[in-house]
Amino acid sequence: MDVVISMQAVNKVFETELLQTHALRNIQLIIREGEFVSISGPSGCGKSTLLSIMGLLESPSSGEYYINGTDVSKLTPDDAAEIRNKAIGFIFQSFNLANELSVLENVSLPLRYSSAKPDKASIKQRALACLEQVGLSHRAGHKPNQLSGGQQQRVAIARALIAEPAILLIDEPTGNLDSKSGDSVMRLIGELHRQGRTICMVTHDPKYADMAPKKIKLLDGEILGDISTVAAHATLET
Amino acid sequence: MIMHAFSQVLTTPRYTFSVMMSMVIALTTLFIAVTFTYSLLFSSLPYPNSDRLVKVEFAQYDANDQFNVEAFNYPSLMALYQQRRHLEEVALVHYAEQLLLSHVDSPKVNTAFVTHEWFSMFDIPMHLGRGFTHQSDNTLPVAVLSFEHWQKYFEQDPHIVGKTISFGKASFQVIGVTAAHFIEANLAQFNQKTGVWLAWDHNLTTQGARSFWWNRYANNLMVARLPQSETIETVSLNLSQEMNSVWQTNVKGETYFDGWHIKIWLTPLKAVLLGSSRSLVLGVLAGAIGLLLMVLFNVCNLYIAMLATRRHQLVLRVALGAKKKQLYAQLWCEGLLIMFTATVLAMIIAHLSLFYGAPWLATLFPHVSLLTLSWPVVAMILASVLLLNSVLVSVGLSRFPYQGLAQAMAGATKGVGVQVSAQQINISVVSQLAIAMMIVSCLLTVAWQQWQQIELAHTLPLKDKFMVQLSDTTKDGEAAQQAAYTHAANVLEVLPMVEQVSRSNSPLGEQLITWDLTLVDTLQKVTPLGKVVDHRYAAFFSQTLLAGRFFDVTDVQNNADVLMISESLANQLGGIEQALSTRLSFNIDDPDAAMQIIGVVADQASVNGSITPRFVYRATQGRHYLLVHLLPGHSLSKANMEQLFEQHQPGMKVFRVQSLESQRDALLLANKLLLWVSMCITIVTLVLAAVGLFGVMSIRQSAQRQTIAMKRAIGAKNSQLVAEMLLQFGRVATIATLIAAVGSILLVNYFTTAIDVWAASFCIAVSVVLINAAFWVYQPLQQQLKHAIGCQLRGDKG
Repeated sequence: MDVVISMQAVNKVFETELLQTHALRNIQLIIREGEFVSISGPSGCGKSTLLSIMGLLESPSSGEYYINGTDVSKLTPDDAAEIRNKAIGFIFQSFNLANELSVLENVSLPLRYSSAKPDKASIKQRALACLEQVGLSHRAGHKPNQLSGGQQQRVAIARALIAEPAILLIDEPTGNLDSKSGDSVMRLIGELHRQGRTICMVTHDPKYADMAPKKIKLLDGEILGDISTVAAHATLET
Repeated sequence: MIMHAFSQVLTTPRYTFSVMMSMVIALTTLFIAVTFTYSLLFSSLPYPNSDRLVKVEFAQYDANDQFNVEAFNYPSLMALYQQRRHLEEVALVHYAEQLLLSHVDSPKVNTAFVTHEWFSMFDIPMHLGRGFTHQSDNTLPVAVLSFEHWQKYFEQDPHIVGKTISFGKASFQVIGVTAAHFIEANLAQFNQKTGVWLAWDHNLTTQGARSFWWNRYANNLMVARLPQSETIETVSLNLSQEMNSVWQTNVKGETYFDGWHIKIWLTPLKAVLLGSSRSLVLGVLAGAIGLLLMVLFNVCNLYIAMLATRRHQLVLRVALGAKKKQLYAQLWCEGLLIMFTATVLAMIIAHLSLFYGAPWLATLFPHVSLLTLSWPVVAMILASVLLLNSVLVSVGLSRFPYQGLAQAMAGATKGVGVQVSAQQINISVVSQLAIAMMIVSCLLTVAWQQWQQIELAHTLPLKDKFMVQLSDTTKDGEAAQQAAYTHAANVLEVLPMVEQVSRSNSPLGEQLITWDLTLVDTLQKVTPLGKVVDHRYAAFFSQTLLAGRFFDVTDVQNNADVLMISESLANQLGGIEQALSTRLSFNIDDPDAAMQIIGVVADQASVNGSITPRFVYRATQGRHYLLVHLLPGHSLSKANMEQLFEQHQPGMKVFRVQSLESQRDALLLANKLLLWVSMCITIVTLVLAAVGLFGVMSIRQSAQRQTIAMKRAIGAKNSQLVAEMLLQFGRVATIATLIAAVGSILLVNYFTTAIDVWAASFCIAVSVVLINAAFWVYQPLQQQLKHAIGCQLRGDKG
């Protein structure tokens, strides 16, 4: 399997005038195509910072970072945006949908910013297909605030899928949902994995973390180790 | 609570400074504008029964019932004064500048010959002695000094009453000094102060003119008080009928006046004193209200933005048990501190501006001494500020529902802090832009008009040129006086520093009067500005001859019936060639009165009035006015002129010496004032628009912070987000421009300007406002784009 993400000796230090905080220390990480990786750990351990660096939302203080074999450690903002648009699909805890836009428009957004500039008809077709995939095509004309939390997260998943990214980066996907909706969303994420998507998910919920065949635990900015399992995945499906 | 409010205000210095500065600017402008409106339009003049005081005007109409001229002839004036029917009280005034010869410096003094009713009508308070109180004070040679002149020229002599002063050959006995606080109603020129009041019968109307019913003397004016039960319309009608009958009887036999009639107009004194300032006052008020509206939008936006930053603090208070009214009281006190401070600062600035700006304002407005902050104005604005503060707090808290605050406690540091809809923000931006565009385009039009006037005035060749006004009261008879002035001109001409002397009056300002002329061949009437000049005048001002010839020395010496006209007038007469064969006359019935046009000169600018007025010049030797052109590097002063005549021509007094450049600058004072004020308010408007837009866009970006971060996260480039923002801005800017265009079209009639000037001003205003606005709309987004996306997505400040 091809390596999608490769991190070598990645560090992240936040500096103020008074103190330095090492958010990440010597991160070594490889995610291959089709893998489902969960990252878990206590609050403040650096999960979100790691996900932000993986998603090119922040840059590492040192170390090397490759996406699909391309060094992305030091990119210009526009080049980083281009890679985010093409190669990464984000799913956030708080959904981050634009309330002034319809569901269809929200899902279409990544293609609107694409340098390939697809025509409107094909954007709409792709967006509807993604909504169909998450079971919300009948809600295409609604505004996000007319949907339930679980439905909003499904819209966010559809949005993450529309550009056919190399990897999905998911940050606490069930954090804002009740358990029923959370399970539903996680089932969808599991389905995506079975379809061959590469997924990296941050979660503090052990139940959902166990769904991932590859688990990474973080503590004080360092990776403690990774454990492979398939049991949890099967548990949720039943 | 006050101390807490004070400390809270200090913790938000940027907000406090922005709001206070915005409010100070708006309230200062409002204080001044409302003071103008209240003092000049709504409050009564400081005279008894001032609402019944009117100026009585005498208007002549020709056989076609066309208005011809407004000016009393002396017998009509006196007939109306003596008759006194339909009027409760009548007073006459004749303004004149005279040399106070009894003073060692012979200073020029503004005098007013008045009938004794003048003092009772205006209830003139006295500092010493008495005013004119009896009928006999009209004829006896008596004088009353103004307090200022008593101080300035008589060293506050406590025994001045009974002493004699003299103007020319006439001597007057001082009977009193007016009180210092007397505010004069000057009908000749607003804010001009009379130095000495003299008995009416000694006015300067010549003996010859006093008996002519067709002579016109604009210097003689009448003021009256209407009876309580009468209206202006009724009295005007009655007086017109009676005076027309009297006038018709006395001009009977004069074929020129066949079919003519007169009317008596009564105009409220207040309207006369205000003149054209009324529209200026209303314009200033409209501008101030526009500015205030902008500031209110700004302050409202800043207030909501400030509350958003304090959301967590407010949530905490609610959690600790603060009631809604307690929150309201706290915010009200904080707002009041800022508003009250801004109001006090604005009052001080407005007061100082009115006090120190009085000399400047005097060129634009009458009765500037009345322009002081009054209690009604202060009370009104204070009440408005209190209301505004209350509304602001109510609006602010309505955005933060009490229940919502309590529920939001858990997640107070995340999410959107402000509940303002995109539609409200768009309305706010559109309003800001439209108001700014309208104000700036009006101001640019005013500034352009003034600039054009100033620029044109500077095209006149005035360098090293002086106007000299002489006065010789020692010679009797016209011939002797003319000889004395000719001699004086000769004395000046031989001086080595003098290049040329013209026996003409200055081309600037107040000496220009309209001549009623009739084309002899077609009987068409023309009313150009007339000017009596000698043969040197054209060369003196580098006039360009377009056709025919200039006056020569023979024309002037013989007072030949020849005229030169300006190109504009020639065009009115059918073109330059046709004009040259045209004859004009003041009196069409007198064949000997016709004057031949012998030359056409290019138009020259006028310092006041229209840009390119139509001029007619008549060849006549001037009397006591001289124009002196000096060699470069030399100057003339009244003192050295007096010294010169002391040596060469004793008895010749120097009335006035003034460089034409300084005369031009004095006449342009109002233009320059308006130009600078317009530009200053334009800048203030742009600053306020910038503050407001920055505030509202900060709210918008704050509300959209996570959306923007999300867009960045899914791959939107910064340039794409900026383009999106500009596209959104373009939509609201288009709507604002359309609204401003409609508003501007409605306002266009207020400005007497060419449509192309108006259109140019509007386009510049739109461009300036939009560039300014786009920059300040872009700023909040740019600040967000600098922050890490991860932080923004997490809801950190970043």
